[in-house]
Amino acid sequence: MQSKDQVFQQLVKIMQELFEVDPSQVHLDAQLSDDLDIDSIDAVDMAAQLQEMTGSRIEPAAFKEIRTVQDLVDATHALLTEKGIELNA
Amino acid sequence: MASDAGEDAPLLSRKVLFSGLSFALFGLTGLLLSLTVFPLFYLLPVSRAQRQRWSRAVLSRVFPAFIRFMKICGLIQVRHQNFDILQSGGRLIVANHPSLLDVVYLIASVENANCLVKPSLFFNPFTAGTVRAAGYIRNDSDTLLQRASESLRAGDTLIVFPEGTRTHPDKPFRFLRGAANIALEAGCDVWPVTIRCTPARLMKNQSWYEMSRSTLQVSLTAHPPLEVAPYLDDSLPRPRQSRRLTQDLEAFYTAQ
Repeated sequence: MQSKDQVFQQLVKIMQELFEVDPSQVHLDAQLSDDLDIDSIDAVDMAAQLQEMTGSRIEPAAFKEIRTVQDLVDATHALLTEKGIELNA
Repeated sequence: MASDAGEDAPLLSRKVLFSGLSFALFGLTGLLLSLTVFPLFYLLPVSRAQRQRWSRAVLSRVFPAFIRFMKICGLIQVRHQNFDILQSGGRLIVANHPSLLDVVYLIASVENANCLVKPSLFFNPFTAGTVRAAGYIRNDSDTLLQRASESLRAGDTLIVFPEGTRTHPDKPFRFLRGAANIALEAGCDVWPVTIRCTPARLMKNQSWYEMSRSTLQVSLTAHPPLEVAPYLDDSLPRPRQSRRLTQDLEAFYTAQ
């Protein structure tokens, strides 16, 4: 079972790759839209990546609830745990 | 000073009156069309696409009439440059957004215009009928990219203000990425229009009745397209492509 920190590291990597987000800007309190400039169209791409990572279908509506990096980590961690998926770091 | 103000007062109050009259006329025309012509289109057995084309055809006659009215009242002068390059359909037009009337000028200047608009216009009684009949796209729509690409493929001219709201006069250009994402999704070049309005009136932080003594000089310039092909780089994920294109659009407008 991975820790939330592992999930966080994985998400930072995805955000850097997809959105050119500077990893030093990503902390748990950061707002996805205001602080990291991730918009609703980006969220669709993010959801697709998470879908690949967790094997769970992610509804766009569910993604709208996610505002901060913390929300994103929690949601992803919950999905991984539910599916019993191990991240290969 | 006092005598200056005295001389200005009658002119300015006349302008405020005409300006109020113009906006009232605009709102009432929208309302009237929503209660007469547009519902009539709904009653006829035609496809939604046809109904939207008719509605847009109505608007491309009504909006120029409205602009003529404002010209006759001495409120504005409008000058177009290079707009012949925008007259074939299927063009994605982006523009900066200095004033309240920009969308009116643009819709009046091209045929069969579709437009990305803010959701509140779908609920304002003076505009709801119009934006619905013309099939304008809400900028918060979940299916925005698909609808915008379909519209462009169908040969509509699609107008987007990438700032998402009126330009803030004292801040650098800051574009949202919707326009870039539409261009990438549809594989369409981006046709920039620059709008200049002097003296600065009807801006974000101003009321419609803050008029100036002089007539507003509005100039609309169409520029050669920014080609989308170089941005459609398969080695980059789509969000990064749209960031590149958006940065270059911002740079273009900043340099103007």
